[in-house]
Amino acid sequence: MPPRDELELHALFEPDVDVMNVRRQIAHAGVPEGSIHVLSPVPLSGAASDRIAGIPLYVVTVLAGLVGIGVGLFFAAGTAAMYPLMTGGKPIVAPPVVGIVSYETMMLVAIVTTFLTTVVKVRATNSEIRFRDARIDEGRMAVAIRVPMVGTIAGAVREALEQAGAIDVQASVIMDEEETVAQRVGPAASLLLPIALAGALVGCSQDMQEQASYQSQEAPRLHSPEGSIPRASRGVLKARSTSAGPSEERGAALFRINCVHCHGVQGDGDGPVAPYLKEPPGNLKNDEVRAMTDEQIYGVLTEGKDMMPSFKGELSANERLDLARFVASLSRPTTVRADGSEDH
Amino acid sequence: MDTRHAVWNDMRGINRDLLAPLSEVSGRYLLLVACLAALVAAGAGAWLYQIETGIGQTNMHPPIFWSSYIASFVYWIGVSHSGTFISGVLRLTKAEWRRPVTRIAELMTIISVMIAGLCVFFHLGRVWRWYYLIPYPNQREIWPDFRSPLMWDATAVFTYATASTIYLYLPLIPDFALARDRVGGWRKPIYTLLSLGWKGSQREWETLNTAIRIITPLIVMVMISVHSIVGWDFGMSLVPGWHTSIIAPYFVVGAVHSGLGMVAIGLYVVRRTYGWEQYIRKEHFDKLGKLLVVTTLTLAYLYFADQLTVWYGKKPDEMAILHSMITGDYAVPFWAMIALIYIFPLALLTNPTFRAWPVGMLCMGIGINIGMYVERALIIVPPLTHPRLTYQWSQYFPSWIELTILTGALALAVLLYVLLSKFVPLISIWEEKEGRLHAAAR
Amino acid sequence: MAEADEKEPYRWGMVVDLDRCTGCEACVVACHAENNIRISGEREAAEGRAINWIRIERYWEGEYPNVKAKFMPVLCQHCGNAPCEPVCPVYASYHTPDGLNAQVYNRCIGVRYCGNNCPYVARQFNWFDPHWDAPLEEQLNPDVTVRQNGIMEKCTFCVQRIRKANEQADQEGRHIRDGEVQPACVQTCPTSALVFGNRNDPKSQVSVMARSDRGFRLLESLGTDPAVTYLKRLS
Repeated sequence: MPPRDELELHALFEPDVDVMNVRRQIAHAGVPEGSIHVLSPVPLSGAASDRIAGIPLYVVTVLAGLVGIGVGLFFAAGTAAMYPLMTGGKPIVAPPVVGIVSYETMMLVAIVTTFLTTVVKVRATNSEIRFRDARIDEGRMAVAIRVPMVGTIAGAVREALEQAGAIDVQASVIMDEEETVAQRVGPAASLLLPIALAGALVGCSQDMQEQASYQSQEAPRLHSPEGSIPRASRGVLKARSTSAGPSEERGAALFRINCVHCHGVQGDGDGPVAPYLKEPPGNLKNDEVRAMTDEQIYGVLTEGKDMMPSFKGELSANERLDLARFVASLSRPTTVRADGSEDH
Repeated sequence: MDTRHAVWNDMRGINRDLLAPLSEVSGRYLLLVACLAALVAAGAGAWLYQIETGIGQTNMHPPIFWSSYIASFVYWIGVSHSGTFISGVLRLTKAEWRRPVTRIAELMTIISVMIAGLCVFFHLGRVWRWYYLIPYPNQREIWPDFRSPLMWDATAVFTYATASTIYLYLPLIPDFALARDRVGGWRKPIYTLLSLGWKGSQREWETLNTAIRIITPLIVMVMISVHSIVGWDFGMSLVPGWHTSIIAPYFVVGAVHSGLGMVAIGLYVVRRTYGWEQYIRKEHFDKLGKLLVVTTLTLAYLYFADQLTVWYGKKPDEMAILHSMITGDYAVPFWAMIALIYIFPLALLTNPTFRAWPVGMLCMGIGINIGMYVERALIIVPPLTHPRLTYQWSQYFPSWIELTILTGALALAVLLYVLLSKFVPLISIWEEKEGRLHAAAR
Repeated sequence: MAEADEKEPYRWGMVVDLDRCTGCEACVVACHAENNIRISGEREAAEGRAINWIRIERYWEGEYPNVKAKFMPVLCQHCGNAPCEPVCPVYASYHTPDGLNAQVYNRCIGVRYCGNNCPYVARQFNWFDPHWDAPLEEQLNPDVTVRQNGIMEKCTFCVQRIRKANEQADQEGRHIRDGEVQPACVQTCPTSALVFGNRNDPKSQVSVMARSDRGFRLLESLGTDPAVTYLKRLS
């Protein structure tokens, strides 16, 4: 924090002013060299030998380059040596590879470090100066001098400036910085959050975890797929091939395919799978079923009942209707057909 | 030649002229932005469709596993060499004519590198797993394989993109300060932040000059390495026609060639749009043309050396590819490429009157870029369509989806440039002033 | 490097006897069945994208009426110096200690450099998601991953069978016997033109046949050191 008892004197000059002379005169007035700043729209000299904290900038570059080589060695050689995987008969740590990668990382770290050092240095330099006038860029020179508020130096400098031909000599009291860095960087940083979130979502895909193949321990399929034909049922085939066939024949075929394994050929609940089930499948000829309407049987088929699964996705509504009518007909002996229903 | 005094008096006019694009938004501009945005949207839609359904939307099939996306990637990296070459090499050689050209070229560089990276994403089969390419410690205990030329590519392009952005930004600091003092509205806080409180004191200038002087040779070295490494994506493989040691220098020179052509286009468009005939003068086109002659001759020499070796050696693998280009399936694009990148430039650019003709240089730039794109595609496709086991010989031409996506990428590049032109002064104002002072001092 | 390693008892290799091969393509079909290779369909096949991990390459020689068909089964050669392995940027392709060129499906991001670099064009890519009409997905082999789109794949020498045999042999405290592990193509070949086994065992059938004076390796001058030896009398 700059002390509050300082002034900044600033003035503009015509561009043909002798800058060295002006500096000398101001220094003569009692101001140390480091407090005199000459501002111009273009660099006044091609000088480029600036030092950072006493070290030439290129030393920072070289040191950063060495760090960069280390980074490259870590990635190209270190990671390969830590987790060796043979590829193509090439050595695990391949010198040409390490060389190429280290070259690039050396350049990257060197350039970025030089840049960041420059940014810091520029900020450090110009934070001492408060004065900024748009007329400088339109073809003027300017000087800004930091002087103590009390004492004679301010007056002496002012006189020196006016003698040298300054235009518009002003003095401003040093005030605290109005905006902190954090306030300025904040809005920019808030952009990072949605980008980070978007990036995080990318990795959430479930590639290949669900396999189309039938894995061991997977739940069994409950009924045969579409287009299945029951065995030894030529009669049923003939019935199925006529699309306008009677509903009960279709129902019989569907029963044979989807129901017989649990409920048995006659619907008595004695299918081959029945002994293995925790709850025995229902006898479709008992009083309970006989009392159900077609709609109620349809409902059982659609929603399932106790251990019996729902056939909603597996059979279309028409198929379930046909099945329901057939199951209802099981309880009525006279409607059993000769072709198809009695075969085993 | 102006006197120094006159130059100082002109500075206000220079500021006004070169900052004018930042404040003017004409109807034509908005129309251009709308058209480009529509193309970009079409490309984005096509890309999303490709991600959803699969890379099968392209026309690739074994043995052609790489095609237009990789060709575009190589092409855009090549174009990106324009900025670094003009800024870096011309700064090193202290060529004064670079001054109005550097910013235009450097902007092209960073936009091209971004589009090139985008082309890699277009190409990936499982693009949502792209982060496997990033070296970071993870519980799977696996890193990317740095023995792959593609990882050298990733490192090099990342370095190049970072370095180019830094190299664009450093000389921009004083110009951002200039804009901060003159432009209001929503851009002012951004300019204030980016100008780092620049005051124009001699210490700041010295620091800036030092940094630029150090980074310039470094970035030129990076530039040469980047396109060499992109060339080694092909050179390291066993594909006949790719496995040649000349590929690295050939790619670097080709990159500069197409980059300079793109700069010619940019110079003409910028000069014409903003009426900057005072700043971008015929001498700039002339000098650019001379550089193009050098790159044309070098590239022709390298290409001839490569193909002569193939032709004389008569190895069956490689002869099949050469024949397919000279007289076979790819004869039309091959000869068009030869004309566009070698014959026309040599014939026309050696004529000083042509070089000083801006419209002619614009056409030359467009022709060179089309020719270089075809050249990239011809490097990739004919060798892949003629593998050693002749049972697998095949053909390839891009599909509509590929063309839509790549057109969208091109539109995005132009759109970004057009949008940035409202934010960044296209000619480096302080360097222009400095150049005029130098000229007046002589 | 493909040197015999005392610590590693197995180095898998194959011999293809071209004098016995009839070009019947039973091996191709068997490979499809064993490895869940997707059905490409007519359109994709016309575009050259039919996926075959092993294919019979057919070359015509001579002019009519003296035309001869020469054919050759080509599969992944599991090269010792595989050019496809070092170019993968994410280690999705690497060389196992027992001499297999492994492809790691869930690591592959689909860069496809490996596909370019294989001189035998043995590698395939999944251009779309696979699809089997119901109920064909019921016949998929649960031991083999069904690959999604964007992933490279190729012959693995039926590594699932090799690993199963490894586990069985470890349980019983012995080595895998010669002929115990047979990839699907080898198992199916009606003329026994394909032979598979351990090249580190000098007495295995594969090693004996590979030493035959009819033996040659495909594109051997490239230095890829393939694990597959072809036999053909050239006289």
